[in-house]
This record gives sequence, structure tokens and C-alpha cells, in this order.
Amino acid sequence: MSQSVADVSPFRDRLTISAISQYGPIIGLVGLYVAFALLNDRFLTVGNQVNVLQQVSIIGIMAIGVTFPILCAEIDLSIAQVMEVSGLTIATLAVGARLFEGFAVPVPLAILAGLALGAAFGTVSGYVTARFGVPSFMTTLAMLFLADGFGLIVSNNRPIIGLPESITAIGGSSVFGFPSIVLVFLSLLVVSQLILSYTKFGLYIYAVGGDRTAAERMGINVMAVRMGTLVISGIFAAIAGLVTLGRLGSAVPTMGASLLLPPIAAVILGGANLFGGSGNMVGTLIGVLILGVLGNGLNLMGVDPSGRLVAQGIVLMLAVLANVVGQD
Amino acid sequence: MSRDIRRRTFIRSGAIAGTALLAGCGGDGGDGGDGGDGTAGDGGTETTGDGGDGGTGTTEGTEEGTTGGGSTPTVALSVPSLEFTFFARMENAFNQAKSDGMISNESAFYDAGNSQSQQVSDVEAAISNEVDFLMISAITAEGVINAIRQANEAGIPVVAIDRNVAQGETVTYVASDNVQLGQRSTELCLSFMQESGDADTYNVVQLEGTPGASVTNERGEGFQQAVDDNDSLNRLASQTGEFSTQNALSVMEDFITQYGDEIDGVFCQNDLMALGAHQALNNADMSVPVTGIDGTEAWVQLFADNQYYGTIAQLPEEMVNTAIESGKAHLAGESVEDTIVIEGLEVTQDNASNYLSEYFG
Repeated sequence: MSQSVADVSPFRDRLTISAISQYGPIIGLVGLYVAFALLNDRFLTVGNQVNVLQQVSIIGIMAIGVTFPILCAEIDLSIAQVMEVSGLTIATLAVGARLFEGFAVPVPLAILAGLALGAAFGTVSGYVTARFGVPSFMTTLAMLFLADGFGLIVSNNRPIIGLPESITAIGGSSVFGFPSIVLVFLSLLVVSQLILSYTKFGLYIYAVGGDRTAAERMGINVMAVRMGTLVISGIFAAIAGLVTLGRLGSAVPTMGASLLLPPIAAVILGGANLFGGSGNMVGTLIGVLILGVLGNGLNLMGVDPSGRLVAQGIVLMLAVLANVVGQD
Repeated sequence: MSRDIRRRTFIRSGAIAGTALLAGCGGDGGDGGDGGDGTAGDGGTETTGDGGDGGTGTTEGTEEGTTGGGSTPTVALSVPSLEFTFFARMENAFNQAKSDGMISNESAFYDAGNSQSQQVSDVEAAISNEVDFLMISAITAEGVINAIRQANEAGIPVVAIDRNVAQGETVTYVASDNVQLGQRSTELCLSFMQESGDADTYNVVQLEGTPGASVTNERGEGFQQAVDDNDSLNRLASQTGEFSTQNALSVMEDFITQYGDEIDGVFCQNDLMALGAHQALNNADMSVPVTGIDGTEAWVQLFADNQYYGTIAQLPEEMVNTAIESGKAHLAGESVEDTIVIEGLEVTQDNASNYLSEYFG
């Protein structure tokens, strides 16, 4: 009796909508690959695939960072601006220009200062969120404006060129012919997945994201976990700012522009529950790749900007639909 | 438990509302204002502001504000936001005009800080101060209609700079012509291509600005005109780089993958995208002409070691000076053209250092 039940249920599971939505992202990605490979003969070349990885790395690093708060049922809306202000701070300090005219510091110190700034933004929004129960989308919205303003002050709203080689090498050099920015992205991805899978903190993130009250009753320090996730996303945004310097070869005051939604979209595309409790870094990677491959493929095919927006809208709508339907 | 559910529902709806809100904001502020309807975005993306140029200028004040159309009228200038260095350059030019005695010392400069209601208040303040004429760069063409009407009723002439107003009487509208900027920059690119190699046709790719922004449409129109007018010019591809260096870099990489050596030149709708295109071409060891629009400091600095790079610079200083002159001409009873186009300045390797030292000190 029990034997037959056990036999039937896995089979049924496979046919439910939730099972389809679980594999939806990977099916979507493979589908995009097949479609573009058929439609364009340059798409599947090694060079182009390296390009795609390079193009998604910045969004990818920010997406990894913002996965932590999302798993915890929080959101970080300030990532693009934190990325911007951190990158600009590192560049301005290292070159000794604008706000820090004549205060040039050694490169490692500049980098440290930039990362600390990212962490500081995360700490402030995390503390206000966790300690006073202000929804994180409000605290990080405030951080968005704050970081944007600081970015303008630091850079005086002007691009900074002539960055030292030691900074641009982090995101702009290649290791055995492979772009360093991709290596940074992939190693951060692995480290983050290990944190989620094998540390208590990772476990607690899921617990708090799934049911905060239950987590609290089990004795988890909910405040520390919620704050921690926002600090992490701040640091990752700062790292994204650092590697952007290498990719662009300069620091541009608008480098965070239009980078708020893609990382969040990528996390959702990857199947993470926007309302906490489920998802993982592999999903985020898939989501990032879907966005990147879509943009790259449409570019190669010469689709004009309007067509590109339409295609992105359709893919996002399908992904969000799969995400929400799968969770019910 | 129910409290928790309610909270999650709140977070859920909040997250959706927040994301939607930011989607809107992102398009506008995020691009450095390119979503706005004038060339403000280019102001935002432009790099400038010769700090010590006019701000601390020696106050001479030879003639004390003789009101009523004398040689030094009292005027007011209202701009959307000093956050964009384009308008900061305007402020410097305004202060310079003040210290040069072109306008009286009581003349006032208003920064609306991107707030439409603040700009309306600024205009009202200028009206109560009974300025001789008013210069305004409107945040939105529609938002200042009432304020312009008030100025009209008070008999104060209005000069629109950089961005026009939708209704109300204005003496003139002083601005760059974006269609012309696009066409000239594309033709500059063509002349570079002709210099660098002899061919029957030249393939050019275009990096467009934020989709839907009027600047994007107008500069794109100029590009298309250049392609139509020149038989030797062939449009290979066109894609949005959203006025951002980073997007332009990715798009350019894709162009290189797809078209490779077929690309003879790159036209970018602003200088920040030209920086990105340069980076991508550099990585691919390609050397083709690239032109932009705006006259951004960082892009112009690159000219020193890159022969076939150029831009068409916008000149906010000249806009302010022309606006003051046409306002004065109007007060003196002379007739003034409805629209005054400020010709952009073509900047190439030849005059890059002059341009930098003149406008960026």
C-alpha cells in the first residue's frame, strides 16, 4: 500500500506546474541558446561566449549580492548607486582628484576604503531595517538617494580617467586568455553558494526568509541575519564597482545607471522566491545568463532597441509568471 | 501568524510598488537625466564646471543696476539643477557676465534642484523683484506654463534657454539643434573614415541613447539625414547604449563579434558612449574612427593619442551670453529671431587642447 503511493507521487510531482517552474529557468536558457545558435552563426563561437560572460559579470556580481537579502525576504534597491559611489571613491582616492584633490592614497587602501563604504551603506540600511522594523525597500530606497548624492560629490559629476594599472587589472586583465572579471564573478558565486549551503548563517537566511516568527522562536538572532544580508549586498555592490573600473578603463559618474533592475530581475529569473525562503546561487547564475544571452543574441541579430525591449519584457513576464505560479 | 502574513503581504506589495517606482526613476535620474526632455541629460553626462572661473570673479559693478532697459539690465536665470554640470557651466557664464558688467549686480541665478514647484517659485520671486527680463531653462516644457503667463502679464520678457516652454510668450528660444548635432557628428566620422582609408562606401554603426528620449530621436534623425545625404555612407547597425559607457561597451563588443572588420566607423549619440566604444575597440585591437556629441572632458582628453576621434561640443556659455544679448536687444526695441541655434563646436585632435584649456581650465 505505502509502496504504491511512493511509486506514484514522484511521477505526479514531475508533472505539476511547480516542477515545471523549478526547471523553467534552465529550460529557458537552453531554449535561448538553441534559438540563437540556429539564427546566428557567430553566436556559439568561443569568443562570443567569453564576451557574454564578460558582459554579465558586473550585473552578476550585484545579483549574487542581492540574492542574500532576497532569500531573507528583504530587498536592496541601493545596489546600483552603492556600486557607483564605491567605484568612484576608489578611483578618486587612487588618482587623488576631485574631492580628494591632493589626497592620493596607495591603491590597496583606496580599494579598502571603497569596499568599506559599500559595507557602511549596507550596515546603515541593515541596522535601520532590522532594529526598527522599517521595510528594507524603504531604507534602501533612502540609501539609493544618499549614495547617488555622495557619488556626485566625490566625482564632481565628471568621469575620472588615467586610473593606475593595478586597479584596472582587477576587472580588465586576462588570466591565460580568460577575462579576469569573469573569474572574479565565478569565484564569488562559488564562495556565496558555499556560504549558503555549509554555514549556519546560510541556513538561518533561509529560516528567516521562510518564516521570521518561527525562526525567532527557534532562537535565531533574526536581527543579525537580516542586517547581515544587507551588509553583504552592499559589499558585493562595492566589488562590482571595483571591477567596473577595470572593464571601462575609467570611472564614470553614471556607471550605475540602469543597473538597479537587471540584477534583481536576474535573481527572479533564476527562480528565487522574491518573498523569501527559497532560491540559490546557481539559479541566480542562470538568471544572469538568460539576461546576458538575450541581449547579446538580439544584438548580433541586429534587432533594434524597440524590439529588444519588447523581447526582454516578454521574457521577464514569463519568468515572473512561472515564479509566482510555482510558489502557490 | 496572521501578523506575519500581513507583513509579508505588505513587503510583497511594497516590493512591487518600489520596483515599479524605481523603474520610473531609473530611467530618469539614473541615466543622468537623459530621460528628461531637453538636452539636460547631456548636461548631466557632460563634464565641466571651471570652478574658479566666474564664481569668485571680482565684483566690479561699474553701473549700479539701472533698471528699465539700460545697458546693464537686472535679469534672472533659472535652471533645472546644478547637479548637471551643463547647468553649472551656465552658472559660471552667468557670474562671468555679471562681473563683466553685461548685466547688473542684482541679477539673480536660481537653481531649482530638479523640483518643478521650486522652479515656479523661483520665477515668481524674479517677477516680484521686477527683473528686466527672465531667462529660463525649464525642467519640463509644460510645468512652467503658469509661471511664464505671470511673467507675460507683468510685462517681463522671457528668453528660453536649452529647453523650450510649451505655452506663453517668449522673446526667443536659444538652444543647440540636436538634429544638426547628430548630422554633423556623423559627417565628422565620415570625413575621418575618408582620411583613414579610400573606399567607395563606408560602413558606420550607431550607438543610440535612451530609447524614447527626445534627444535620442533628434540625434538619430540627424544621423539618418547624414546617411541619406551621403551616398558613400552606409548604416551597418544601430543599437541602444542608453547613454551609458558600460552599455555602449557591451553593445560595441557584440557589433565587433557580428561585423568585425566591416565596421569602418562608429557614431555615438553622446561622448560617454564613445568612451565605451573606444574601450571595446581597444580590447579588440581595432582602430576605427569614433565620434560623439557633447564635448565631455574625458572624451576630449583621449584625442591626444587617437587621431580619428572627435565630438561636437555643446556650448552652454555661449547659450547664456546669446540669451543675454537677445534679451537686451529686445529691451532696446530690436526684433529678435524666434529661435537662435547655437552651433556646436567641432572638436578634433587639432583643437582638443585649446578646447580643454578654454572651457575646463
